[in-house]
Amino acid sequence: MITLKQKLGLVLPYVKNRVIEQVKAVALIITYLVFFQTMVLGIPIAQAAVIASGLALVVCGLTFFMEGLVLGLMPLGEVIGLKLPQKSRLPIILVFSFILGMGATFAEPAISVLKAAGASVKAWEAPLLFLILNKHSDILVYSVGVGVGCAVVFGMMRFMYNWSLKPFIYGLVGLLTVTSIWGYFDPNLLQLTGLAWDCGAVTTGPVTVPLVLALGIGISRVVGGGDSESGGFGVVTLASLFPILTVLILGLAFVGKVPEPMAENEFFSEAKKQDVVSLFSNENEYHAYALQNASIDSQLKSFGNDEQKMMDFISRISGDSALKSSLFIKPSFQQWVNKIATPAQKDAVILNSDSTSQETRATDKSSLNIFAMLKAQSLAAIQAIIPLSLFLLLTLWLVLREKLPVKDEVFFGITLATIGMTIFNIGIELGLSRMGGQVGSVLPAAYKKIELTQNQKQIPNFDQNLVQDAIDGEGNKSRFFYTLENQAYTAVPFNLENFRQEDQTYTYTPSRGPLYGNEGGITGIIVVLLFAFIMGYGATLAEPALNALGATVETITVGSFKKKVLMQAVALGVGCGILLGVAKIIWNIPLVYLLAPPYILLMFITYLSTEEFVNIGWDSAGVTTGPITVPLVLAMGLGIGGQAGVVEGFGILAMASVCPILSVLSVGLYVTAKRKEAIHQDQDNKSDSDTNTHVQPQIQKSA
Amino acid sequence: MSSSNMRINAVVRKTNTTEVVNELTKLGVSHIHIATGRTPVFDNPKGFMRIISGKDTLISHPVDFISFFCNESDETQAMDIIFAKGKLSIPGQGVVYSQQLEVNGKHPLCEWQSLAQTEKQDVNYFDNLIGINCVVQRGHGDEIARVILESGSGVPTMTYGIGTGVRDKLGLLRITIPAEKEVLTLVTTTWDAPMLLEKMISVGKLDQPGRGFINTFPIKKGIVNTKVSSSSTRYAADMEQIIATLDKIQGNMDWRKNQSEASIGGSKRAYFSGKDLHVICNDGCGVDLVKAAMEVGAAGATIEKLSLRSKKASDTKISKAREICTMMVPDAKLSVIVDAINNAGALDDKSQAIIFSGPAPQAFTYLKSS
Repeated sequence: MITLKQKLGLVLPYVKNRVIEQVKAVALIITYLVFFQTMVLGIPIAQAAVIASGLALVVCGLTFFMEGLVLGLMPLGEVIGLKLPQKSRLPIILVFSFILGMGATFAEPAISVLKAAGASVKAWEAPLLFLILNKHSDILVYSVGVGVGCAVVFGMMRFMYNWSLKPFIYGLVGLLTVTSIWGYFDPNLLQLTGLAWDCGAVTTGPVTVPLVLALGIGISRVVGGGDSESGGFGVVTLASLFPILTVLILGLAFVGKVPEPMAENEFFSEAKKQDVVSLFSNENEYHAYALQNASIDSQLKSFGNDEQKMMDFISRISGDSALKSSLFIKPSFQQWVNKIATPAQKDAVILNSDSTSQETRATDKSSLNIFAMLKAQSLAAIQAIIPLSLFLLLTLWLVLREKLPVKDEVFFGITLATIGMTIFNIGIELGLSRMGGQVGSVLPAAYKKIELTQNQKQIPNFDQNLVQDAIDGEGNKSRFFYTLENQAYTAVPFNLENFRQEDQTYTYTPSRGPLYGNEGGITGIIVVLLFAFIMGYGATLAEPALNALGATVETITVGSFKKKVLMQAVALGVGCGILLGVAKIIWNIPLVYLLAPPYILLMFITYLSTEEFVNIGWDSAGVTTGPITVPLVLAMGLGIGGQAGVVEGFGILAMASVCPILSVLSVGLYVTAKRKEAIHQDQDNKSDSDTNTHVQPQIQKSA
Repeated sequence: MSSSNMRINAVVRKTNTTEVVNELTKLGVSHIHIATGRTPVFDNPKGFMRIISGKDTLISHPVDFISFFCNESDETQAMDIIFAKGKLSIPGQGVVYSQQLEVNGKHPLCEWQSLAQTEKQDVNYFDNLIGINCVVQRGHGDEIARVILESGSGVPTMTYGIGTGVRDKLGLLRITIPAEKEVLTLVTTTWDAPMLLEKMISVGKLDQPGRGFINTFPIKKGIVNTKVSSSSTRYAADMEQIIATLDKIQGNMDWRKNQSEASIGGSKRAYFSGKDLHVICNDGCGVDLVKAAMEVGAAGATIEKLSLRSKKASDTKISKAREICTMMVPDAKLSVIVDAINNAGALDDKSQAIIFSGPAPQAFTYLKSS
């Protein structure tokens, strides 16, 4: 038997290599973010210790997760792919594929993010979106699930009948373009289009992609006809496109039943009430929504301008804890009372409520609770991995009646993947998201003046006599005062609103920028665009699903298409995409101008490319928007968008999906051309040597 | 139950595979096994990159490794088809060679028939060739390929495989040792082989533990690929073409002997010999068969994935997903090991295996001195 020392001798280098690999993967993006915030923007990192430990967790989690994929999930998928076509008939394979696709969707954590996004949608601005994200959010998840299910079904049929991916791409993208253009003329559908394209991006996560890839590789090894080069790829593409279609269809089904977008006070008026209440499950919900989101005028309107009715309603809720918790989720009823309700409304509550104080304490807990986070994230990880693995194992054991080869490795792998995902998600929440959020919110300081709200200070004993007058070149007067900070006197503009008379306190928010050039100047914007590019590039290199895809591509092509090449091509593409997306936000360019030309170009390049590269290129686009890129991009998009007064992060993700397809297909065209060139050269030479052999007739043949 | 049979092996460009396979099936060849591979060659050296890297960069062309069995009388026939459809008359397009092997057992479905006769072609095959097979850890193949290319004696074909052996005795700890292997197959002349073996062993550090394994195998006849770079030339014909043409005129390659024989020197390596044992079976069955072989004395095996191509209806009973297990065994233990593999169910309907072996006159790996 081997000794403990020998065991350590085996395990340590193994662990070391895996960790180093992941450190390399995330090093670029992390050092870059730190460097950019501290050196380029010159703003210290808040909560540095929390962020640092979060980043360490990301590395650790990625290490576990990737190893779990390689040991557990991918071999499991491949075994099923190999056995399924041998042991069962077509209908069973298709039913299995459909269930797998559906199941993968329910397991994907990002789906619940979409549901959470529904909370911020204002019912009067986007009634259709509101309806689908709230009252019918289950139907939304089902329709995305059906989309992914169909995608896996068609993907498997492609392998079995050797269909090309190109017709699917032309058909689906064509159909989606037409639908999206149609949606452009209907304000309700227009808002839904954004959601639909986002649904396509989130379905292909770090669990689904490797599993579906492995399954496809297995199946195409058994049934594959001629070309095995593209075997296994293409399902991810379909899984990105089909859900867009199903969500748009869902929208079309509901669009006739919802009112047009309108102003807030019109929305709550008596005339519209009939239409509007249909957006909610019942009238109580409608009233509760008004109380939580609308202005006091509109609230009154929703009760038919009858104040007594409103107070009765509030009293009724506060006395009924079941109603309370079903109608007020976020904010909870207590939070609503404390923060939103008017004094009159508060009075209506207090009349018959005695449990409020208790609830107040319960709800105002500290936000950073590591155990709650651990529990939530491990639940999410288990939910994402275990049901799917169980489904696969049961299929293997009960339907196929096969035993699982290297059982210990697979189970160990699944455990590793679950642990890895938990740690990884905690790391993202603690480290990467915060980091991204900070950089994102201060990034616009490069080209414009921004207020650093997190560094807000209160000056006690403020004396208004300190305030002085100043005048600019055009004779406009403004007021300011001096503060002493770090041994330096700084002038701070004075604003009467920030002065509290009661305790003589002045609240002052330091500001920064523009750091490069003038306010809104091009130099600063170039800095921001460059930042966006490098961030997209670095984050993509760390994406786990892309790493898995790259390794698979390298194995399938026996190293003639290196993982490194694919990763670089995709990362450059994502970088360019994010740069364009940020440009869209800064200059408020309509999305269609940015999306249409690349897609037209893409159709053309797809037509020119070989099947092999079409599959790989389109698939890599599907996996780019993963757990590392999305939080960073969203944080940055919201940061810049917030400063620029635009609240739509959608464009960036869409651009980050289309550009990598372009870059991978371009690399593909280059490689194909190079291979062809080599063959042509040979053939040219051959024609020369043919003439030679005619002159020199052959003499001898071997025995 | 052993008989002497021909196994035809070929490496062709991926773009030509379908045509080769179609033509072979038309002729009556059944059970064509294909492994995906690549052939590395030196890239067209462009001035700037060359200055930076200091050495020639490698570029890989995707190829398919085709192999099948046939009767001895059909050997030339089958090779001619591959030569024509694989465009092997052009230097750098691939190789074709035949091996005389002993079949130690086969599933009834793995039977092959004689081929239809077609017009003979005028192809010049050489009979003083030898094959070299080298298994190394994945990622270390390119450095060995480089020395082979630099010697100009041939172009290797690389495929991927999975290794089994000591690793599987470790329990779950085995995951700490990477199983992924790279397999180099090279066809070269008998007089270049000793020098190449020596170079490959020293570059691959095969005399150190856990680095890899190398062995030679006899080739009955075939052609070699000597186009070691994808560069174009400024002459009417490049050096590879001149060599190929001279070979053709001479009808053999003996004229090339002089230069390389001098460089052999006295090799003191302790080569051993044995039998090269192969089992082709359904995907997933190899691990169990190899385990059975290891219990009676085989050291370990390399398993490579294959895909089966055939058009005949009866062949669809065999799974398309296949794998080939290759192991080196001592001469004396061959029959015991073959029996063990048989007993493990190699010839039943689950594995549908074919077992065959051939001599491995020279082999080398790290051996524990104890």
